Amino acid sequence: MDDAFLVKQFISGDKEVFSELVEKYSRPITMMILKMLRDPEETKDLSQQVFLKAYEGLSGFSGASSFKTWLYAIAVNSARDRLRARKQMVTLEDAPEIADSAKSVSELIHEKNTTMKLREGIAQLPEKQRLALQLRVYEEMDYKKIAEIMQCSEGSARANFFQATKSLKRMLVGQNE
Amino acid sequence: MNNCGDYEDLIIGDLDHCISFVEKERLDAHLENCEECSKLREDYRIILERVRLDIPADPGKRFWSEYDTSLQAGITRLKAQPPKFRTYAIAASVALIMLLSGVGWNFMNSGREPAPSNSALLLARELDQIYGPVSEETVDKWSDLAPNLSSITKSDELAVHWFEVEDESSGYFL
Repeated sequence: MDDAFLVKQFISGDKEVFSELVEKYSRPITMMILKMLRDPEETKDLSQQVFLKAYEGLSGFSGASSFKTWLYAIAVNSARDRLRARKQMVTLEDAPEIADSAKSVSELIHEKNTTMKLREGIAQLPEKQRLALQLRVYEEMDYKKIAEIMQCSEGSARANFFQATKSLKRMLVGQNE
Repeated sequence: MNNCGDYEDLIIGDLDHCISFVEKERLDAHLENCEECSKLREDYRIILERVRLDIPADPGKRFWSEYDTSLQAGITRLKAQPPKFRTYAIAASVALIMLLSGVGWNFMNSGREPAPSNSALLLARELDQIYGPVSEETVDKWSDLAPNLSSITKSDELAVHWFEVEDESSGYFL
């Protein structure tokens, strides 16, 4: 059964169909949140909150976007809020210096800690750039869907992804390269 | 590098598979002759590839089991709660019943004569003194007066007292 039908059934009072939507989306939504938060316990808690929010709000779902986009938007916004709260706890002085201008990307990439540097780099990206990068690379979403979730234009979503890629390279190898 | 800055976005777009055939041809032609841009393309390719591969592992059976149990418990809790729209409907029904009760009460009492106020009784006693005690003959007059007496206010009451004082001062005993 497609999402639109299930949502219609739910709105008309058949609340049991929600379990089908949970079954279909709980894994991908949870994995997306895990890629963003990198903490399984926090992810478990947040992903459940996303589905409970969806259950409470589905009766008022207008259908302006697809259910999938609506659900992903709830998840992305919840994860973003969690990351914001996390960022407030980390002061600028605590932010690690990750650039290594003495080496090229191809040299850096073979180092063991490069993955950590990349994660730290992504965490330090401006919010919109980070979201665009994560949705494009991790979720392989097209720019139309990214724009719907981020509530911006497709051009803006694309520009944010491009800028994120450039920023990440700058962070890894510094300004000298 | 000649105008290589123009090619940086094309390089990222190419790795992102979102440039046109014409743009791709232009980029490939440039890369053939520009070592720096070829290196730049390789750098971006490596970065995006590493980001793409850095996906957390599946958290495991125990995680999903706990997740499913806890989520189901949360949904069951929500199902047990009355939905918000039902709460609003109940509140609206109660308000409507109260409104209709008020309208009905007013309608039922609209035919009744209001009880005379203290001021009205005071004036009635004055009238008794003038016309004599209420009798069968004066009942009609009383019933005619009743609606007017019920609307007597504080200022009317003062007028009655003034009337008494005036009559006392004139020495005429009613």
